[in-house]
Amino acid sequence: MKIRAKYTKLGYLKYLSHLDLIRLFNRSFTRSNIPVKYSEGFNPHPKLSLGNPLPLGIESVCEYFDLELIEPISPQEFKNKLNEILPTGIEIVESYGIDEMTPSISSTMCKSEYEILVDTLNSGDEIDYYLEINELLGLKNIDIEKKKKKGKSKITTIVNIRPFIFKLSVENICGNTIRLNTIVMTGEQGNVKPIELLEAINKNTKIRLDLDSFEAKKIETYSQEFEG
Amino acid sequence: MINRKSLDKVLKKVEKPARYIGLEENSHNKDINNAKVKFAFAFPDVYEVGMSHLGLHILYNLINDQKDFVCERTFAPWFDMEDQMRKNNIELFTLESKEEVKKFDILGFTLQYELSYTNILNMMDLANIPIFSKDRDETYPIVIAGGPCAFNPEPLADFIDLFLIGEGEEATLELLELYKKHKEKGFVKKEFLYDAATNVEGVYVPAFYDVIYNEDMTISKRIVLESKVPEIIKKRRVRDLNNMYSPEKMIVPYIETVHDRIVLEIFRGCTHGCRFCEAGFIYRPIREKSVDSLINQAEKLVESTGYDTISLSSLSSCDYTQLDLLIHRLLDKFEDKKVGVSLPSLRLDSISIDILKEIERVRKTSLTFAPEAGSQRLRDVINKGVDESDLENAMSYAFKEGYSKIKLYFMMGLPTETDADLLGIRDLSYKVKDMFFNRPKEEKIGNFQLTTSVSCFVPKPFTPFQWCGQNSIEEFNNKIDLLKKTFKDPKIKFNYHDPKVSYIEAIISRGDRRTSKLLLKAWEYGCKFDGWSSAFNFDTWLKAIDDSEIDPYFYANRERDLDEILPWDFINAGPSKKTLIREYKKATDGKTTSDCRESCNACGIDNCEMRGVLN
Repeated sequence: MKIRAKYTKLGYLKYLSHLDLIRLFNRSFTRSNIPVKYSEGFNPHPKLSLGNPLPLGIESVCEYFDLELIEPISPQEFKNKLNEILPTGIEIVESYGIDEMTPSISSTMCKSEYEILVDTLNSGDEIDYYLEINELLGLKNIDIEKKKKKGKSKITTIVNIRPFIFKLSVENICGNTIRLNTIVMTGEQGNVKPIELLEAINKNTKIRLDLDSFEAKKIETYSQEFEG
Repeated sequence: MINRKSLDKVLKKVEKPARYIGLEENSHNKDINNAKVKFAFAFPDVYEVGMSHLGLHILYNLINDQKDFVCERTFAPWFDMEDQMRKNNIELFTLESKEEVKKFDILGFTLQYELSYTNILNMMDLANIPIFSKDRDETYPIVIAGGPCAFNPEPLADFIDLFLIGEGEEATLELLELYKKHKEKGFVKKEFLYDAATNVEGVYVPAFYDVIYNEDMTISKRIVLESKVPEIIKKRRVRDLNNMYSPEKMIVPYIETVHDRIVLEIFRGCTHGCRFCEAGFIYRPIREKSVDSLINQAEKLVESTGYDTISLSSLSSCDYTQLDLLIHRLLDKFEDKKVGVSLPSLRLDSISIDILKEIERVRKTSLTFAPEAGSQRLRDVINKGVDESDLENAMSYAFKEGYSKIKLYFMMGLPTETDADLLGIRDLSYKVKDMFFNRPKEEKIGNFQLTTSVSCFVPKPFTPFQWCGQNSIEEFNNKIDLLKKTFKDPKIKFNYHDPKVSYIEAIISRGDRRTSKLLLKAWEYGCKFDGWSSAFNFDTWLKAIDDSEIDPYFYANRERDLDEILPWDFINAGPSKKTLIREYKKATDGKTTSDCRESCNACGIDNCEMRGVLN
């Protein structure tokens, strides 16, 4: 049996890395006596696969994992058992059986919607944020530098992220804090992190954001077909 | 409580932010404001190292199980975090309540290795606490310290208010109770310290003593400054381990640590009497836990942690009298949960084929052996009671069982060592390799790799070698060169420790009150995390040595007279000084001393639990 679970990553636990999270889940399966299927071989480990890694320091209410089991268990029981063990901040909000042929999470859920709070360094009514963002979206190219690891060395490549931005809007402005909403691509075909988006705003518009101040939360994930 | 917004901002900028967030499984969520005594447990190294330390888990659970007390953790922030904390005015805080360490009643450091001492000063500074004991009044926490290095507390005497010598399970609670009493009637620091020094066994308060020196810099005498304060401090030891507090929970870190596993302490002490080993002397006598209580504890730990490995911990785990039974029962119990058992460094003499076979049932790990010296002559000098046939037996068992990755540990610079002894390290290593490849073809299982690691010997207090001079850095380097040239096989990896680090360790570990100056200078000049080769800066240490006007030769390399008053002589660690002198003389004569399970060597421990056992 294969089960898919939707979970949250909130509070300080947003600082757990992808690997930390996998280790946490594996320990939690053991502790909650969930009949996990193990891989064969020298060092058996649970057949668990997570979606695309969430950037460190960003909260989410919509992360997913798939897990293979050796015997069936009701999705409700699965959820309840795990939630008893999982720390506050990481909670299974939904779980359901899927069949073997269901495409993987990382290949299907590749659009992410984020809510971002960030302080602006611009003073007063100096600029029109709505206009600036619209102008940014009017650009054909929004180039950012991406650092990649190639073997042991790090290389920098220039990537145009404009095709991967499906939505970017100013929701409201409260004092010097701006609330943004965005839908961007995540995954191997294209990936935009919230911080990269903010850097692009600083580079390409008159808006000057205090990048140290940003807080982001992933609020929804969508499939490839979704058009934001 | 520190500003959470600043912390959040800072955490986005540092490497491994989960080092600083707490909230792990089995960490407590008591309300700190309801506690009558707030204890901050400080490990003077980075989180991953500190969380792998068993003592932390014991004391943490012990204290938090008490209604009136709360214990929270703090670690040395890594360089990037310290930088951010200083820039953003974030004081050193505890992981649980994110409370400033300064607001705690007691700040307790654990002393596991001397090269963490600069971190202690740095952590006090980060906490905005004056570094010198004399500068801290009642508005600051009482700063205490314990752990193996507290057996020579003198290098830290200027900084720490109170040391606890020996095992902490009982003494810590006595101390906290005493603190509570004093807090209730109006806390006066000196009164509390005096009460502790005179009424809690194992407590040492440096301020109540003075030391007079001779012209040749050696100690002339110690003076007790307050009446009724004990002249000799007797170490604490727990007499009955089965009824001792044993944690049923361990905090499970989110990030990978040095040891991600259950640590099951199977006994304390050691009976071998290896003459270089401080732990072997200060933790005497041996006291075992019963198989039943260990199984019971393991069950609770597996349940509360979800770990997949149980490490059987002690100074020499193969000595456990019912090891076969213990391993069998553990493996049977947890096999379906895929929980394996691991043994740290094995002694060559006691390993048995059954044990290896059992461990292998779930997971194969590499094997580590510690012959310590390359020749039989030198192994006799250090009283490491193993010989080459032990090694041969152990290796043929290991290879037969399919282990192909072997690690051998040695020391160089041991007393009386010659080039011939050193070359024995090479010979033993090649012998192990040849043994593997001389096996019949079908029995050569796996990809053979031998790692031979050689460390620089540091003479330690309370060992028969406490009078010996350490080799100079130059001597060590010559020995390394000699060995390096002889290792030319790609199947054998030769590792060695940096003699410069061991030199600093030697100065501090046998230091006295005057060594405080060196620690202060080194810290002022920016030394911290000295146990990390990436952080250790020898030139800065040399400058600190120069400016603090201490003679490094006096502490590290000088051979002491047997009748010299040593800085730690006022501590009764168990075995008598007479015993250490006898062992020292036997060592130089190349005579061995038997395991004290075989016959009592009358080492001087009062009411020894071992006396009469197995006789």
